[in-house]
Amino acid sequence: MLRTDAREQILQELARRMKQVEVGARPPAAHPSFSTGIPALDGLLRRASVPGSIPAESAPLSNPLGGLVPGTLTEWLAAGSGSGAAWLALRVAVNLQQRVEDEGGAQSLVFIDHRHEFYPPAAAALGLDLGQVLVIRPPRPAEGLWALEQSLRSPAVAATICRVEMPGDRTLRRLQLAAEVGGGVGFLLRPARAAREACWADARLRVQALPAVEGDRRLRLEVLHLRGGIDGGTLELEIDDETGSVRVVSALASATAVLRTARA
Amino acid sequence: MKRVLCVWFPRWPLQRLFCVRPELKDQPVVLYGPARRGGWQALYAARGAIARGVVPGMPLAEAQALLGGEHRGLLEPHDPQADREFLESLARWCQRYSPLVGLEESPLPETLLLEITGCAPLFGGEQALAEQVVRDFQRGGFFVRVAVGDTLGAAWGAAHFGAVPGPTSSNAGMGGNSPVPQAPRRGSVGAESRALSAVEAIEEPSPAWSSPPPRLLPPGAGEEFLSSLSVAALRLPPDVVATLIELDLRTIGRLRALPRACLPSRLGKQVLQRIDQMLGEIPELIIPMTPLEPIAATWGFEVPTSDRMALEAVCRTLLEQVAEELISRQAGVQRLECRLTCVAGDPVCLTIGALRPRSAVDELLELVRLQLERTTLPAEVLQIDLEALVIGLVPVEQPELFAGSRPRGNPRRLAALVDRLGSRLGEQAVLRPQVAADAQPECAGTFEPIARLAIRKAPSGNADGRRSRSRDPSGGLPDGEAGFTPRPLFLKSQPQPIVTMSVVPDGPPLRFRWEQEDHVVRASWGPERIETGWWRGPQVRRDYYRVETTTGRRFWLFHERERETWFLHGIFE
Repeated sequence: MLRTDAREQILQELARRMKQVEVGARPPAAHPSFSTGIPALDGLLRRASVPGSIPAESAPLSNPLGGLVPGTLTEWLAAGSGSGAAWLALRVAVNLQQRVEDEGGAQSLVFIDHRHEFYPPAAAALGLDLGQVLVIRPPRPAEGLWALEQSLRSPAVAATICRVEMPGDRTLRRLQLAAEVGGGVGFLLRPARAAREACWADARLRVQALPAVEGDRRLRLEVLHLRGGIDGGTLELEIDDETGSVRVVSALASATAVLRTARA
Repeated sequence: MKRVLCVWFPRWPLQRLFCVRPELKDQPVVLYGPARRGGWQALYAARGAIARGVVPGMPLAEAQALLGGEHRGLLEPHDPQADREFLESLARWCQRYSPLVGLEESPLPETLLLEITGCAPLFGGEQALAEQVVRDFQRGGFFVRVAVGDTLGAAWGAAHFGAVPGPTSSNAGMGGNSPVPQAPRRGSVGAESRALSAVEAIEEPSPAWSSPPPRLLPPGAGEEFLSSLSVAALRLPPDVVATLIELDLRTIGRLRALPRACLPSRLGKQVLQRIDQMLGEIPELIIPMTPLEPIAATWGFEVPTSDRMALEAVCRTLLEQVAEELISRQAGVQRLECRLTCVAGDPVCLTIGALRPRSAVDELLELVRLQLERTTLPAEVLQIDLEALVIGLVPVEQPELFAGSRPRGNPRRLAALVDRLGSRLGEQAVLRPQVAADAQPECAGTFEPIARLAIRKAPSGNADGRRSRSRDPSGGLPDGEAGFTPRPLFLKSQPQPIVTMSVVPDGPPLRFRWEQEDHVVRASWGPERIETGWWRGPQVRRDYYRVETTTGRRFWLFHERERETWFLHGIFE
C-alpha cells in the first residue's frame, strides 16, 4: 500500500509528463518563437510559458512566446482553391526568412513544387528574395515527400513549403520528427477536408476567402488547433496583392475557445 | 653545363584575361584588387587605360573616373588563383621542351623556368629551341620574353631586364640597354606600387607586336652582361630595390664593387644570396610541376555478382582509395563516374555530381548509393571502375572552437542538401527561380538548375560573423513595369479551358465552370491585353481578367482572341 505522499509524488510526475506530451518535448522557454510578421496573428498564436497553464488573455501582445516555434510544422488549410492560404503562408515565410537572416541563421526557403505551378514573378512581388529560394520539382509524387523530409531535416533551410493532400498519420509523424531535427519551419498547404484528421502539426490554420470590400482581398483566418495555446481565434485580414501588405480588419473574439491544456 | 630557359609573360594577369576573353583585347581594361588600407585599387591597366591616365596603384574610384562613363565591363577583378592555374597548365604544356618545368617562386608568378641541359640537340641547338618556344607562344596569342642562361637567376634577369638584341623599331617604348628604373615618384602609394610602376612602364604587351627574339647568354661567360643589368633583376623585395636606387646603386656591377661584408648589415642577407645565385656560386633548383595523373580506382570481381551489399562495400573501398589521393592533393571531386561492367549487356555508367568539391567518403558513398538504388543492372557485375572526372581545390576551413557560434545556414550544408536532392531526383529537379523580362506570362518565370549556377559565397559571414546581404536588385519584376498588375501565385503549366456562361461583350464571363464547379463572378479587373511571342511561334493574343467570385476566391482568366475561347491560367492562392 503506497503512502499518501509517495502517491502524490507519482501523480504529480505523471501529470507533468502528460503536460509535456501535450506541449512538446522541448521546454518552451528554451527556444524563442519566430514572429509571423503580423502582430495580430502572433497574438492568436500565443502559447503557455509554463506547460499546463493557460496563457492569460490580458497578457500583452508582445509576449515573446507568440508566433511559430522553430522545428515544427504548421498546416494551412485552404477552404477552396483561390482562397489565399498559400499567399499568406508565403508571406509569413518571407518574414521568417528575413528575421532568421538578420540573426545570422539559415536563410534558404525551399518550395516543393510537384504540380509545376510556382510562379516566380508573383513570389518576387510578395517580397521573396528569389536568390535564396530553391524550387524542387520531383519527377514522382512519392519522391516529393522524400524531398520534403530531406529539406525539413536540413539545418540550412529556414522554411519549407509543400502542398500535401492526405498523406496519412505515419508520414505526418515522420515529417514532424524531421522538422524537429532540422530546426526550421515546415508549412503544409492542405485542402479543407484535412480538418477532420488528427493534427500532427504544431498549429493548424484555416484560411477562407471573403467577398472583397473596396477592391482589396479579404480573408478570414481561423486557428483550428494550437499546441499549448487556445484554439478558435479568428482574424479578418485585408491583403494587397501588389504591395504584399497585410492589414487587420477585425479580430473577432474566440466564440468557443477550447482549452487544450491538461487539467491540473 | 647547366642551362636554364626562362619564359616571362609581361603583365600576365592581363594576358590571361585577353586569352580567356578575346573581346576585351583592345579595350582599356583595368584589373583591380584589394588595397592595403582597405578599399580597392587598380593593379594592372591595359594600354588604352594607361593612355587615359590610369596608373597601377591608384584607387579604383580614380581609375573609374578617368575611364569615363563607359567603364562598365572594363573593370575586372584580379584573380590570382586563376592566373596561377592557367600558368600551371602552360607549364605542363611546356613539358614538350623539357622534362623539368617550374613556376617562379613568387606570390604572383609570371615566369616559367625550364631546365634545358642536354635538351638542345633534340631541337637543333639552343637558339633553335628558344626560337621555337617564342614562335609557339606567339601562335597561342601570348607575348613572351625568353632568355637562356647558366643559372636560374641569370636567365630570369636576362628575360626581365635584358635589353632586346637586334633592331628595336618595333619595340619602341621599351627603353635602350638594360632599362633602369626611374627614381620613385614622391607621393605615390606604397613601395610595391612604386616598383611595380617602374617595371610596368617598360613593357607594353600588345597583340600587334611580336615577341622579341630570345636572348642567349653564352655558357660560362656573360658576367659582363649581368653586371650591366639593373638591381631589380636580382629578384629582391621592392623596398630593398627602392633603397638601392636611392643609394644610386642602380646596376649589379656597382653593387658588386662594394665590399661584400658590409652589404648584409645594411640591406639584408638576401642581396648576397641573390648575387651568388645569379653567378652560379650557390645552386638554385627549379621546383618542377608534377604531371597530373587521373584519379581512378578499379575492382574486378572473381565471381560476378549482383548483390547490392557487396557492390556498396566495394564502392566504399574504391572511394576510400580515391579519397586518399584527393586528400593528398588537397582537392575534392566534383564529378565522379562509376562504371559497372556487366557480364552481358552495356556497361552501366553512373555520374555523380556535387555542387562543391567533396572528399568525404561517407558523403560520396551516400550519393553513389542514392543513384545505385534507382538503376537496374542487366546482369551480374564483373568490374567496377571509379574515376574522378572533375576535381576542384577544397579551401581549408578552420574549425571553430565554439561550435555554437557558427552560423547555421552555411553554404556547405545547403550544398550537401542540394547534392542529395539532385542525386536522387536528377539535376533538373533542383531549380533556382528567376524572373525574366517577358510579356508572355508563362515565359516571365524561368527556372535554372542549381548545378549550373554557382552558389555565391557572399552570404557566408566575415571574420566577425557579420553577413553581407547579397540581394539581387532585379529580384522583382523588371523596371519597365510601371503599371504592375498582380500575378497569381500559382500558374498552371498549361492554360485550362473553361466553360463560360453569359459572357459580357468585351468583358469577363459572369459565370464559368471549372473542375466540375460553378463559379459566379462578382467583380473583375481588366482587361490586360498581351500580344507577344510572334518570334516563338503563332502570336499570343490574350485579354487577361482578374476575377473574384461570390465566395471571394480569385482566378486569372484570359480570352484567347484568335479562337474566341476562355481559359484559366492561374489561381490567386
